[in-house]
Amino acid sequence: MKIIKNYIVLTIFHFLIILLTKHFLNIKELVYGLYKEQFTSYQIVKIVEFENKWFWLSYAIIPLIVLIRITLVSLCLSIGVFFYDMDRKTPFNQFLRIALIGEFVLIFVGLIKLLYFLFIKTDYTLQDLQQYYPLSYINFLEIEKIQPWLVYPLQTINLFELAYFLVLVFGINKLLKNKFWKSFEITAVSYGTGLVIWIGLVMFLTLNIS
Amino acid sequence: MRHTLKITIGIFIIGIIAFLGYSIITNLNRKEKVAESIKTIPHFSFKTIEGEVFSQLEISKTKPKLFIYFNSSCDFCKAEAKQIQENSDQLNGVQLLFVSFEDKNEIKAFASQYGLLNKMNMVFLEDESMKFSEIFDAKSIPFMLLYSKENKLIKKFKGLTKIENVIMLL
Repeated sequence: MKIIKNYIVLTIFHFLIILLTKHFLNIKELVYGLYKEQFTSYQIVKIVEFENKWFWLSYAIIPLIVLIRITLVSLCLSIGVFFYDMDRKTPFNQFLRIALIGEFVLIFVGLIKLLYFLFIKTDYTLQDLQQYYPLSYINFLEIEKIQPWLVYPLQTINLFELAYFLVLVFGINKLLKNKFWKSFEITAVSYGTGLVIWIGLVMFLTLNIS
Repeated sequence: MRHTLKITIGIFIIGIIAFLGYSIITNLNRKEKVAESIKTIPHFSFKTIEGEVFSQLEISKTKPKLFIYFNSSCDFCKAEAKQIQENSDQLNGVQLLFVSFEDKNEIKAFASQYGLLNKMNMVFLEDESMKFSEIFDAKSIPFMLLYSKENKLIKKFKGLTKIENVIMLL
């Protein structure tokens, strides 16, 4: 029951961040500006009509994305625990609970991004919004010189990812009641492998469509 | 049982990582090769809608060239063709090479619909063996490549592009 409550709260936070971002960062205007460079006025009207018709979809998929993400992370953790022979009876919802708590860290990514563009970098483009990732290694690089397939893996090197990882470690540690470094090892191997596969998949897809 | 399951999962995970790693490296190498080969107009051989062979030897030697990879059922390609039709005067000095993997009758109908048939500077080509996307690494349509009259690549355009952005570069 508590899992469902956390899941709903998390989804509401995501909704709020997206709503605030769209409103305060004038996303519509930025998108329109980008379209103006590529499309004729008639085409823009058609695209905007299409977007207005389907705008609810961008909100509707949020709960689904969160659900898929926590399920996949929980699956990685449960496989990790299974491989380490740590426990035979840990229910899957215990892993879901840990992954769900970790997800709250990612709320701050959206929030800090919003505050950054609202108060610090007030002159920005749509591309800036898409490529900026707070407290990430990619911010030290010249993004224009980075190949599209490298953007995501470089964005993933960030302090939020580290915080997320540590939340998982503490969660596993609390669940298995073992030594901290053993939990660290299990999480690194299980979640780490999952992350490597996920990054590889994104790179593979980016290379195939760009 | 537990041991067998561990081995199966392990092999599966290693298999996925190996597959992704191999695909990424192969793809990168291929992209690098293509990027190098399309710096100048590479070798190609398609068929005109009249059924004649058209290769890089037949292209104009005095005009810039614009390759347009399209499909007659794609809405963005239709929009691109409409823009070309509306700006055909400004594109007079460019050889336009429309390429599609569709049947020549469909290509002809498309050209005719937008009043682009029988124009001196426009050639409609049938890519029977679907080689264009491989040769030029075209992953989407419309896809355009602008070459100078010396056959040097000026710019690639992925997706629908305002034709003014192409004209600007001439």
